[in-house]
Amino acid sequence: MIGIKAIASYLPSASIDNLQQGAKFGEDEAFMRSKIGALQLPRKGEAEDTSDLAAAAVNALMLKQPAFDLASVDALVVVTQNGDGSGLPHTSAIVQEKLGLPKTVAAFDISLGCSGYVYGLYVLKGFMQASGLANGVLITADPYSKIVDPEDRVTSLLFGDAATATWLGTDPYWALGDVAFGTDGSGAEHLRVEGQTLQMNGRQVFNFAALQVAPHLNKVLERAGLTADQVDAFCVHQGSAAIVEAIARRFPTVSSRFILDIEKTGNTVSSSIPLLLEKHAFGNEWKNVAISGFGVGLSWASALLKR
Amino acid sequence: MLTEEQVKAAMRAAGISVDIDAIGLNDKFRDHGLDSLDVFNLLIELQAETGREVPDKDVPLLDSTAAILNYFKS
Repeated sequence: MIGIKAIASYLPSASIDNLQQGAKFGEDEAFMRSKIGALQLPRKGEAEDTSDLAAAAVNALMLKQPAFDLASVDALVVVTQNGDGSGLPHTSAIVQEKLGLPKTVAAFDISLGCSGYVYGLYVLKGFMQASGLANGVLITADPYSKIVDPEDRVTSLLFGDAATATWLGTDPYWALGDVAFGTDGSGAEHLRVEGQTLQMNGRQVFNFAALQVAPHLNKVLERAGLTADQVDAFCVHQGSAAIVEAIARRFPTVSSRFILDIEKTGNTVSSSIPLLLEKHAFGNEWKNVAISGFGVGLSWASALLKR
Repeated sequence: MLTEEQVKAAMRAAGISVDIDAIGLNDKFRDHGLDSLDVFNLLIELQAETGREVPDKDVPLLDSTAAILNYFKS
C-alpha cells in the first residue's frame, strides 16, 4: 500500500517582518495576530527560483531520512502555479536535473494552488500504483512572492515562500484514506493573476473557505464512517488565522484540534498542509488526521490520513 | 424582520470577541474594535439567518447595528 513515508521542507532564511508591514497599511498588532496570524513571511532570495526551493526541500528529505535514496526515485511531481521562468519547460524537469535524478524518472507538474497537496497525494499514489512504481516524491513549491504586489494590502500580508517534499512509497507512516474533491470555476475571478499580479477578493475567498470546507470535511468523515471526535487533528490549509478559526468554529466540540501554525510561515499555498503534517503529525499516537486544501479555482480537496 | 437581539446573537455565533452587549444600536462597529473580518463573519451568519445575499459593494454601508437592521428591512 502506497502512502506517506516522510515529509521535509525548506523555508528561505530571509523573511519580511509582517507586523511592520501591517503597520504600513494601518493594521494594529492585535489584528495581525488574531486575524492574519503570520508575523513573519519567508521570502526566497533574488537568485532562487522555484526549482531551487523544490530541490532544497528534497535535500532536506535526504538529510532527515537516510533510507530515502535519490537513485531510487521513480516519480517526481511538483505542485506549482509559479514555476521557473514562464512555466515551460515544467519545473519538475528542471528539478530532475538539479537533483541528478535518474533519467528513468517520471516527472510532471500539477497546476493547482492551495488544494494542490491533497490532489497531488492521490494523483501520485494512483500514478504509482497504475505504473508499478515504488518511490515517488511530491513537491510543493509555489512562491507567491513572484506575483504579490508589495503595495497591495489584501494579499501582501498573507503569503510566505516555502517548499515541501513528501516521500510516497510502500510501508507508509500515513495511509491515504477517504477523499473528496470539488471545483467551482464560477469563483475563478475571486483569486487570479491579472497582468503579472495576484488579485484577490478577500471577502469572497473568506466566505468560500468559511462555508465550503466544514461540510466537505464532514462528507469525508461520513464516507470513512468516523465522527469528528474520532479525528485526532485537523490540518487544514493555513489561509490565515481568521480562515482556520472560521472553519474550526463549525466543529464546536473539537475546534481545539484544528492546528493553527502560521506565525513563521504565512500562507504558503500548497505547502501549508505538508508543513503542518511534518511538524505535528509524526512521532505521536494520532490515528486519524483530516486534511483539507482550498483556494484558487475555486478548488478544494479533503482527505483522511490513517495509521 | 431582523431584531437587535438577532444581530447580537449572530455576532456571538460569528465568534466576535469584543463586549457585544456594550455595542449600542447606533455605535460604529469599528469604535468597539470590530475589524473587516469580524464583519465578514457577521454577514455570513446574517445571510444564513435571512437567506439574503449581501453584495460586496454594500458591505461598507453595514457599519452599525442600526445600519444592518435598516438594510435587511428594505
